Amino acid sequence: MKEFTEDEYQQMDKYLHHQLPQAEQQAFELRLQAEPALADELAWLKKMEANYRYIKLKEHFEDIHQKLDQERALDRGAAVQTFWQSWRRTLSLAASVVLVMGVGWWLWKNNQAAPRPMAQNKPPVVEQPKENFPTVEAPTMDVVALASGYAKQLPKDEAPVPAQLQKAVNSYRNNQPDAAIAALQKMPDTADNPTPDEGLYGSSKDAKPNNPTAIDPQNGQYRYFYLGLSYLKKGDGQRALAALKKVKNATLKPSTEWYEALALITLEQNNAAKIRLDKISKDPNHPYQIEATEVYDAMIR
Amino acid sequence: MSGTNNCQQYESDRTLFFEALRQKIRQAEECLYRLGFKMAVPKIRQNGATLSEAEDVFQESIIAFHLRLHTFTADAKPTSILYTIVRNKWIDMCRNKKDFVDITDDFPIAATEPCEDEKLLEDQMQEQLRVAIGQLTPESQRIVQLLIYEKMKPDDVAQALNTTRASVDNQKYRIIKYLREKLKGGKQS
Repeated sequence: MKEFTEDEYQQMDKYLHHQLPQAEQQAFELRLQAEPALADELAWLKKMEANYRYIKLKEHFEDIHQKLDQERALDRGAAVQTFWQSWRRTLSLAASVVLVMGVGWWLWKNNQAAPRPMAQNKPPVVEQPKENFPTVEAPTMDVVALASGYAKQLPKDEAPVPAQLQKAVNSYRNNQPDAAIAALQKMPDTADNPTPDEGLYGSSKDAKPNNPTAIDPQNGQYRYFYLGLSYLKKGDGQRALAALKKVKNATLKPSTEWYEALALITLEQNNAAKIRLDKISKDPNHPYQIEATEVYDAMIR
Repeated sequence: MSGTNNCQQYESDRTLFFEALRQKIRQAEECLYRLGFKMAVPKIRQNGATLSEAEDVFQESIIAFHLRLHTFTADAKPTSILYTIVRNKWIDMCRNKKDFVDITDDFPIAATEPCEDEKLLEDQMQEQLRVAIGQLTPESQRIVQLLIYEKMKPDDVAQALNTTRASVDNQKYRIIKYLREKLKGGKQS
């Protein structure tokens, strides 16, 4: 079996994921034609990745099935029975009735023959002690509730907000996320900074490249940040995450990481949330180190 | 927002539903599972499947749905596409059954074809992979999961794991070599 180098595997990986520049791709395809061992290895790699994804998906959906089953959220319906199936069932039901009636008649006959017990011979009625059910412990701290609580808090160490965003940010601070979202979405745009919804679902109506009234791209970063926070305050983790993912500003980055982790928890993306929280909790300079540690600990408890 | 509310939101906005499924949002996945299950499982049982067979077909179908997810557009509802996959899988299983009654009436959607990945699936390789990956360190397992299952870029994996891109590349190389060694008996040349 031929050994391939790290560079060759990287090239195969890029080829599989369509990340090679066109010239390199063509050169690689020529190599594939000339080197059966390379083509074979590439085919194996592709197959291995497909099978691995299948295994993980299977585990994932078995987990979902189990959870929904425990919550009794799976509606299995009733299978429609064929004529013979229902006829068999009717017959067995009738047989059961006959059997019960027969046993009842036999018992009645036996009772008739035996002397009836005197009232005074009856055993005294004793109240049975009630079964002691174990007390249910109070549930441990609900991670989602903990994250939701933090998600509603204002960010720490807020930098001065750009004047253009002041009104919208005030709405967010005054616990009016809908008003904040509406104001942030209305703002004029820049070519390099599409409207938030365009980034989300390709549904922008207001994108105007070269708009003379466009806000500064740097301010646009604050817009995404507060848009994400406003959605999070409303409990819409998905839109919050989509907006926060667009924030690249270094000043806002630490807070963004924290709020992204909280959004992931509301979406029950616990593994992804844990990775972020773990990273934050290990950074002594991170403004949310203590909070991240608390939430992370609650998640693994 | 509760799971049920989210599910109503997804049911009314299929673009949002697809987007959430592509982002692997757990609530969206649970919503699709619940709705698809309710729609498909009783129907397959009406066509002669036991409950266990119906649930197995549904499980296979929802995995196929996610493997093909990148090929779907929002022309049809995710639940309808899932139903079509379930139906096709059940028909495949029942081709030899004389009393099979087709269940096409409700959702006349063009049949969805298996994607390239599905054609590469092989029980033997899955079994070998399960064992081999179970023997990797937790960190290596996480790298494999992020790169292959989550389809994250190496730079993003490096950032998520607080390491360098070179380290991620190198670890991936070593993992592939290890898997190659472990699985070479199962390789078809």
